[in-house]
Amino acid sequence: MSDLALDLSGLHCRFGDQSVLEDFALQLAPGERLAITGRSGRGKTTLLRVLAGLQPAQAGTLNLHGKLAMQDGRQLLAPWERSLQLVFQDLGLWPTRTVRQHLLDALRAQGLRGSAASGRADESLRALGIASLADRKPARLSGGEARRVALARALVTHPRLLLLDEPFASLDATSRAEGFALLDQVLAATDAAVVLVTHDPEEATRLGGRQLSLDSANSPS
Amino acid sequence: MPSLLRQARVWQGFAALLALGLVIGPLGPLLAAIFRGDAFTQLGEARVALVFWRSVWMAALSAGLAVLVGLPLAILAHRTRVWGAELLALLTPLTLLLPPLLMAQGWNGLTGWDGLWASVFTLGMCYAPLPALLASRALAVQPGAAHESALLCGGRRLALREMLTTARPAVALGGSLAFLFSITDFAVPDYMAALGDTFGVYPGHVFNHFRDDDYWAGARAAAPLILLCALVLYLGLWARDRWSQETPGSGRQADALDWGRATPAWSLLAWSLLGLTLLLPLGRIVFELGVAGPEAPGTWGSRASESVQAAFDRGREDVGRSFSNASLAGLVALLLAPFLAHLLASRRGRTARLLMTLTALPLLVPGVGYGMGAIAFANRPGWSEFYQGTGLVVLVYAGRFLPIAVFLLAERFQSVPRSRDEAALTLGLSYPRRLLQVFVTPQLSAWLLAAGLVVVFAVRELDLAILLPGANQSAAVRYFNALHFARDGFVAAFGLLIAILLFLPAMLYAAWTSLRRRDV
Repeated sequence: MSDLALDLSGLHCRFGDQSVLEDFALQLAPGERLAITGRSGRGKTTLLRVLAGLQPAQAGTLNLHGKLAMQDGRQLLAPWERSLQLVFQDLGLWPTRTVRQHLLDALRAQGLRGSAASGRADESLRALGIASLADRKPARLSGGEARRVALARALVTHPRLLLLDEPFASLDATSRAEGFALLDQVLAATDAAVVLVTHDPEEATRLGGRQLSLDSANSPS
Repeated sequence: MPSLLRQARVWQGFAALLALGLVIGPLGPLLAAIFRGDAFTQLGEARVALVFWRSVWMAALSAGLAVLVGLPLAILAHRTRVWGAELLALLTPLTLLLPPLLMAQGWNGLTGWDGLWASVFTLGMCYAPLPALLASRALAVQPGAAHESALLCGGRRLALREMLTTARPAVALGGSLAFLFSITDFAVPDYMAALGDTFGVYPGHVFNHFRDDDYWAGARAAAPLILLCALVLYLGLWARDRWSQETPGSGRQADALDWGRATPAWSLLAWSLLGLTLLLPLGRIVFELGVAGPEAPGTWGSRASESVQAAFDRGREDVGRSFSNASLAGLVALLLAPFLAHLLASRRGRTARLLMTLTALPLLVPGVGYGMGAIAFANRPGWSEFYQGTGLVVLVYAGRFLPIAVFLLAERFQSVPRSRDEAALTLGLSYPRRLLQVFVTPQLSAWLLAAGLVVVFAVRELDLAILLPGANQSAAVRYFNALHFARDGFVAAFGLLIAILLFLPAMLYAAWTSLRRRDV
């Protein structure tokens, strides 16, 4: 039984006639950080969605923390059974829920209720500096605040694997620097393995872990 | 078990089973005829074939007319600076909420037209808002950058061409919907044939079996129509998908086109088109409230007031019964539609088109055919209480109009960013909670509107109500009987009363969304 956080092999992903990932393999140790770079259309987001169990693949085997999550491209574990969280590129916040409700919903889904859930949510809100926004809905948040909420929602459940899909793609240079400072702060407080996909090599370097380019190895030219 | 209840497919499958339970009775005899292969035997008779093909070309002409009026109306109301554009956009879809027979009354009173061509024209005007509505939705999401670059490169002409290209897929679907609503209509051709030159249409042929008390034969006769309508709907969906193009944009909406000094002319055209589809026939019915012979006592106003009073007094109970049955049908739709809409919204391409066509089957049958299917199913020994009661009416209405609620919600659900649902999925929210939180609550007004439309369509449904004993004492049947008996102030007032009540859900929806916009 593997004790890797993530063990992926033989992944094939195709959309129609176009092959996006071919015989792709990836291993990640617990707590390890990996930045995946590559130009648009190289399958970065597809890879994260397959890891999260949000879409099947044509072929491939995936073990997460020693549990078989995908075999022959068929997803065996539901997304919520994988002990991972994904921060989406467009954040995926729910327009009718307040910031605090976002976190409470995540905790309740894990079976945590009452004061324990409230306490944990408040702690996360404080840690990310958004306690004062607890009663706001996404429409009343700035871009940076919304990003903090998405991160808080992902982290409040203490995932063992954190997937970040170009979290700073649409930001200007200043906001991106602020975003990275926030990420540094967040990552310092978690022992989760992290996969960051980005098209920016500078972001990849800044993550401070292993780097993998989809422009060359294991992907179609 | 808890893990099973998290699965979308379990809930969606359960909802689909319940929906199937609603429609299997009325549709069963039709589908049985199709599977047995004797659906087309009646078409072998020359007289029946003639009526069938007449219905086909009449409906095609009505649909063509609907597109000719609906498309310019959509562009003028939604994407050009014409006078009163907002009001125009608000009023355009209202025609769809009215019983077509009311429009037939209005147009006949206004022009004296009757017979086959009057039927084609009336149905064309009745269903023009369908292409208009779908085109306006397509035009609303045309990216601002695409519109502005067309304006920069080729002026208004190119901008207009781009709008037409953007609207084309929606218009194709709108036209096919207009076709199938026209070909399945019984009441308008029946009324126009009663007033002038007699002609038969296929739903009339189906209805004739009711007169002979041969319900199974009636349901069987409707089978070719359901196949034709399913094919037309599928082709409409295919054309929509084939011609639709993903246009990348920043999300900024395109501005309305400014026609400068030509604005008055375009405004006149826009309001004239709305006149054809709504204002003129409705205005005529208002006029008929107090119209009388030269010897009649009182003024127009006093007679109109008496007519309105009579409509309230004599029609109140029927209206109440109609709305109570329709509201129960709306409640069923309120519960089932989100699950089925989510199922549809999450599918793409051929699977989505097939699912939509299957879901639409109850709407693709003429009301008289669906009614006879229901009678053939429920009129059996030991079931008389159920058959005569309102329970059957509610179930039949709910089954027939559920697709309207499902389609409206599915369209709204498709606009929800996928990441919101996937975030909930990844976090492990249960399926009902995901559905409620990610899809239904943010689209609360659309959810209520969907149920409201089921109520409206159930109240305006005449062809079914004539057949089902439990629905005989309803507003639609009282109006039908009164209109065929006389054309007095009461008929006009009662028609208007129904119209106003049917407009209510749409008006409430418009008020709600407007208030919410202001809140934001």
